[in-house]
Amino acid sequence: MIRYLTIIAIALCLSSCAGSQSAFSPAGPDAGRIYVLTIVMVVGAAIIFLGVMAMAAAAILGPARWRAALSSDRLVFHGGVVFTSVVLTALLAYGLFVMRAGHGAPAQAETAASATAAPLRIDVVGEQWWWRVIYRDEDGAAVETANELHIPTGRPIELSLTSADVIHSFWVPAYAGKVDMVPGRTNTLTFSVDKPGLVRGQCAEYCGGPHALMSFQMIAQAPDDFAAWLENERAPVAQNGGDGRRLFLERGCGACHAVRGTPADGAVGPDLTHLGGREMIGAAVLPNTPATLADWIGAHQKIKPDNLMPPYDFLSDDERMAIADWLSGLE
Amino acid sequence: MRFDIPFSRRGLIVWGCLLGIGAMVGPVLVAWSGVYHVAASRGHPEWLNQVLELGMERSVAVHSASVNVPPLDEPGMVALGAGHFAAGCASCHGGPGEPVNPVYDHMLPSPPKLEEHADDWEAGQLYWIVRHGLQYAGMPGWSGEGRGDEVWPMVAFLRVLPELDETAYEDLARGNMASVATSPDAIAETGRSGTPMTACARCHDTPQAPPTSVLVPRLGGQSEAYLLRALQAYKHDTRQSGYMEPVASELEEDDFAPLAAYYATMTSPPPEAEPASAELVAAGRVLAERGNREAGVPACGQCHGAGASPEYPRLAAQPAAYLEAQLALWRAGGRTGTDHGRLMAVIAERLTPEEAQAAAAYYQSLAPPQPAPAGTSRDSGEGAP
Repeated sequence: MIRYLTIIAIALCLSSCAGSQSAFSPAGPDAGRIYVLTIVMVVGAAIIFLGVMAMAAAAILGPARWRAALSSDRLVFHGGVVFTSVVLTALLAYGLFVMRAGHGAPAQAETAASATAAPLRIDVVGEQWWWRVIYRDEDGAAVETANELHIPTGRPIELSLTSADVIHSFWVPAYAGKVDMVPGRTNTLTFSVDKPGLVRGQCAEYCGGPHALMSFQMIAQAPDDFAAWLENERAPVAQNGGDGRRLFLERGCGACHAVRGTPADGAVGPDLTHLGGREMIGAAVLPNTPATLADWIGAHQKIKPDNLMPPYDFLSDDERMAIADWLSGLE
Repeated sequence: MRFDIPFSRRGLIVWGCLLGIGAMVGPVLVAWSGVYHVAASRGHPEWLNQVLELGMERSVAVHSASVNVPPLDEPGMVALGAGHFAAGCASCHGGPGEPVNPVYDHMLPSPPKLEEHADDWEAGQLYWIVRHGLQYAGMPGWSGEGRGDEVWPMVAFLRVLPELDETAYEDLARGNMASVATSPDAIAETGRSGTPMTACARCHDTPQAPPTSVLVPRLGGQSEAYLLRALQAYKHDTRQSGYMEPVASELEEDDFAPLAAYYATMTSPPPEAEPASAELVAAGRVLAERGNREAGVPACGQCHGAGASPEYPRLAAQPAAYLEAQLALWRAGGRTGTDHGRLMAVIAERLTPEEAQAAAAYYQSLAPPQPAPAGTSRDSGEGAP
């Protein structure tokens, strides 16, 4: 009975490894290569481990002839020096190949398109406890958003990673390996994705308080869809907006949050210009609906303790709902 | 070497126990018997007086030893202390030309005339007494909890009190108040107005005069909703101030709304304060308009400038010293008893003392806000500065 329960428990644990935020469910060629490397290493290590254990058992329990053979200098030399050198050298070469060490823009050559396209550069800044995301035009104009990265398929993506405060780590396991975000330094992560999809990323370096609630979503889109999204994202919001807009501005929300097209131009917190178009809020903490937005405004310190937004306990339910409705409409 | 003790060990224990029980039971027996005379009119015997005074003086000296005395000659300190002294303290302690009310003179001990006795104490000792009060003497502690900062203007005033003549004291004490009613019918019907606690003009601005002290906020043209909220917070003990809580306590709740509306529509002169240096004002302007992104400080003006919610206070033409003191209070963990206070606390904690000083200097340098036309002060504007 206990044996069956154990098997079920292990199966359940392993099944939780799959999903949108898992290195075991690679969704792009780079993550795929990392996945194959992982499998090769784990399976290879298991086979070698079993072989060594078998020889150890034979050396203790086996007949005298086996034990004599196992204690020969030749076996020690070939098994302990030659075999390990060959295996580790091969693994190193394989690992360097997967990492594309020495290549400025790795992960090309998957498709004809990605081999020729210039990489799309996106700046990502880790902040306590959210992600500032900036797309830059050729002419230098910036489009800022937060906690959600849209990327086109079939084109190398070059993320320029840095931090505004402490060390964070950018990790989107389904697409690429993890890279630290270090204050005062810019690290680069380059990868590509070959089919549309939505995956989840997470800060992978403890960065204080609500570190565990510092997540994001990455949405890969066909190039045309991505271009349309970016075009929409670039546009300021409409001028009208009723009570929610008025309250948002009067109550000073704009001192921290920018909404392009309004006087709100704060740069302290996440840009909310097209918040309504995002899947989630609070750095991928809650699904994005008017109700959860209203909850966030009133109880964000309960939802995400110690986050840096000041408490707005004095807003009435109607006021919170009006602001949430307006923000939800900004698609 | 051993000394011979003239008692057996058992004898010692028995005598010790009896003495101990006697020491505990004796005073209770005396108290129960009622022989001790507690009448204030009787006074203390001289020997008891001396013991009690020794105990008080030593206790104050020991407990105030670690008090650090700040500069007491900062602008506005004496005037603020004087206004509160006249309305709060003088009824028991009297003042120059103002005898102690005979009722309080019959307390035991009778409150000292401070123009004669304030000099008996050092500044740190005066602070300690005003802050904590004195047991068995009827001297209350400071009513604003955690507001030790408010006590220093009282000390500054008590330091100059012995030098004040009657006129100088009267001028300081009454601040911006109108002249005293002396006509017989006014006295007969409403009494001779001295310096009542609820006279706002003791300290605050009037259409003719700025606040009496740069430590006192200008109320003319202030947001009506904010004024109302402040009075309610003082009344319900959610905002601490030894100066304002007694005032709000004596006012009726029904007075608050009309008072808030009165000040919201009043025009008063800007504060009489030293202008800050141009660099400081410029640094403050950057904070007010853009904030400090690295430190997470939002732009002050989005909530405190034109176009912000009428619920938030206007800061233009407030005295810098008052603004700085409030920011320092937040940074020290105070003013968190209200929802709005808790919001500001998060932001104030991110300011350095230099930034707080700069922001305060900038707002002091601005022209006073246009007072709201009567009856429309809660309308809201659109947009931000």
